[in-house]
Amino acid sequence: MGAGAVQGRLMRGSFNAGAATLALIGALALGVLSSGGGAASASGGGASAASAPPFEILGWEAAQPLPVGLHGHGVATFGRWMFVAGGSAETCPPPPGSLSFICRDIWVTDLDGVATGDALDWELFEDAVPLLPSGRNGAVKAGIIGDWLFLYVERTGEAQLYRYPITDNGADSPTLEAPVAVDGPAGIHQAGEFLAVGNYLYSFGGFSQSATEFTEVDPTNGAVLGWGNTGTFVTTKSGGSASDGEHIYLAGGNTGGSGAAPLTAVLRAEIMSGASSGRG
Amino acid sequence: MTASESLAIGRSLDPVVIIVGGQLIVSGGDIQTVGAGPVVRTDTIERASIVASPAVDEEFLVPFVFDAPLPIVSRDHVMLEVDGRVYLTGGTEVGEPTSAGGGVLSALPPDTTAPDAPSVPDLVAASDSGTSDSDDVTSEATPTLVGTAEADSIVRLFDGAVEVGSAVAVGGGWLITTSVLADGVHSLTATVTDAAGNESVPSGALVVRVDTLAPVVTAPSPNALEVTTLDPGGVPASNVQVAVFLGEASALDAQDGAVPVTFPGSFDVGVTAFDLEATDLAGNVGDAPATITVGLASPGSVDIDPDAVIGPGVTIEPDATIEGGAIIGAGSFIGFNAKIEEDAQVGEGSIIGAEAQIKKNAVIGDGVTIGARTTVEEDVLIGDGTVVGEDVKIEEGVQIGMDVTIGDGAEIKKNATIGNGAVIGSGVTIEEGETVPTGTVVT
Repeated sequence: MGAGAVQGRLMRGSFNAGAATLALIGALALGVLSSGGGAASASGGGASAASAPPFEILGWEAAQPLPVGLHGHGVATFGRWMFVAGGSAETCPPPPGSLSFICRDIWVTDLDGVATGDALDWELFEDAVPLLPSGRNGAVKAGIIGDWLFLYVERTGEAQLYRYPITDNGADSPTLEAPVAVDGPAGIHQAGEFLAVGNYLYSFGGFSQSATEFTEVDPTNGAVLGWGNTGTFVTTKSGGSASDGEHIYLAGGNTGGSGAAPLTAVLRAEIMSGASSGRG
Repeated sequence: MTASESLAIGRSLDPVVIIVGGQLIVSGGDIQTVGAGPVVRTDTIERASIVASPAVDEEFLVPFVFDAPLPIVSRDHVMLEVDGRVYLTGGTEVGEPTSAGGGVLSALPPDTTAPDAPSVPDLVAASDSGTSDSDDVTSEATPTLVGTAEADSIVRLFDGAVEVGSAVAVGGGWLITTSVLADGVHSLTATVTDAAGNESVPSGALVVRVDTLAPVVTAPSPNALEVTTLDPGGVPASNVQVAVFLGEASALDAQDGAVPVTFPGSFDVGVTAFDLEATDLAGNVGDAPATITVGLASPGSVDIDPDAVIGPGVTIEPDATIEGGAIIGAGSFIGFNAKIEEDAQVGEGSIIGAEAQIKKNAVIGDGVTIGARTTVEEDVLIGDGTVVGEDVKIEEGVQIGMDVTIGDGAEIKKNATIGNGAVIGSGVTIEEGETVPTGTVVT
């Protein structure tokens, strides 16, 4: 087991998160986590695989200022360019009635400057994040498929998916065209997970939200080809997720609203090729 | 969906997850307690390798381990990986959850590139024992090897799959004395491991043969010999008899097989105990005791004309006759009842067999062997190194070159000439006046 608190591995069919059953199908075809109610199965030994290979973060570069607020900001990369959207900050107080605490700007910079230590040259797309009409606790999540930037803008009780055409300017910063609202997932995945993997967008978990939804995107025109619902899922709000193209990994979060049981395991689901999304 | 290792410290609220180089990295986040209790903000990174094909679904991760702490942030940050470089944006400073910290940072990716293989190991000359210091045959069971590798890298030396030593490369070189190697052939390879723990593929192999056992020497049986000499000084005795006697000695090495036996080149009058020695390729020396007795021949048993000239170290066996004017070269051997007529000459180190006759004015070169009962008539000339068999007849005026071989029972008629290196088979007759060219084989 890893250092720190030793916990039993969560075994198939004995997941004790008090969560609903998950059955994910389609492009994101996941296995089934049974809520059979058994306690997490403790296992005395660690994984049988070889020990972790050496790894180290070889020194952080000096921090460079980020032009947006930190809480709730979204980031996506387009080659060596990085888009940063939203985030709460005192420097961009929200207009009355607007998306609370979320800057509406999108910035782009050249990541090469981070590696070299050169001052970052930020390009601003002012007021690029559309307003949502009500609520608070906003956040922006970003993903890129082809030459299209998708922003999942959320706040309490509502969410909207936007699509931005990206113009690749080669050595110069890419530029964004005005966004259009496109069909988003049926559920509101506030504080949930939003991933762009290959030509698919995935949205799952969040406050009081157990659905796992996905859609294929046509990379040639950015068209959202229809969301499918793979079933229910543990309501892992505020976790972290990533994909290696073959699986989606989820770590942490908690299994419900505030004060619900923390999820300290790592879950993964295989991405099945050849399955269809909900379009049509 | 399957669940694997739990996060090591139980962080659960807003951790950041990315995958870099086949490893799942989880950073920041808060440790929560059930029931909206206090949270503990974390500022560390932990990571676990993703198992490509786990035997058990739930074991798709190896246990988490910790790495460097986050530089400034813990929550509300984003991590990205672009071309292997990790980027981090935003974040809320540890202990100040409401303040804005962070910025944009990056870090080099983990070094997962294996270093180049080191050079092929080489046995140092001091460990390469035996007659050659470069034949990779050694008598040392813990030989020392050298090679080159990147400075400060860890070099591991393997005998097949078994590690037999390691060292840290200094200044681009390494030196390793192995653990004990058994006798036999070993294929030694090396790998280098860099500071990040990446290990190279093995180097090319050096085949080393370890031989710690000396040859077993067998002395002649019985291991004593009595020889006589006419030289009152007693040095040397009859080389022929000694050589024949000692030639019966043998030595057998476990790895090299038969190896030559050496012995002292001369012996004093009296009894000498000495060691027969044999050395194998690895330099191991075996020996066996032997004894030789050198005595003086009985003065009355030979007929030596006072005008004959006898060189030092000559052995003359009983009943031999040496007439006046004859010259016997140093170290020669005159066999039983042999006869050297007046004015005949026998070169140094030559052997005249028992009952052989060397007639007047015949000249025998150095290192010549005349077999038993062979007759060399008057005025015959025999070159150095020639070997004449037994019962051969060589008539008057014959001239025989150097290094000629004449078989038993051959007959060389008058005035024949035999060129250097020729071979005359047993029983062959060379007619009067016939010439056998150089190198010719006559059968």
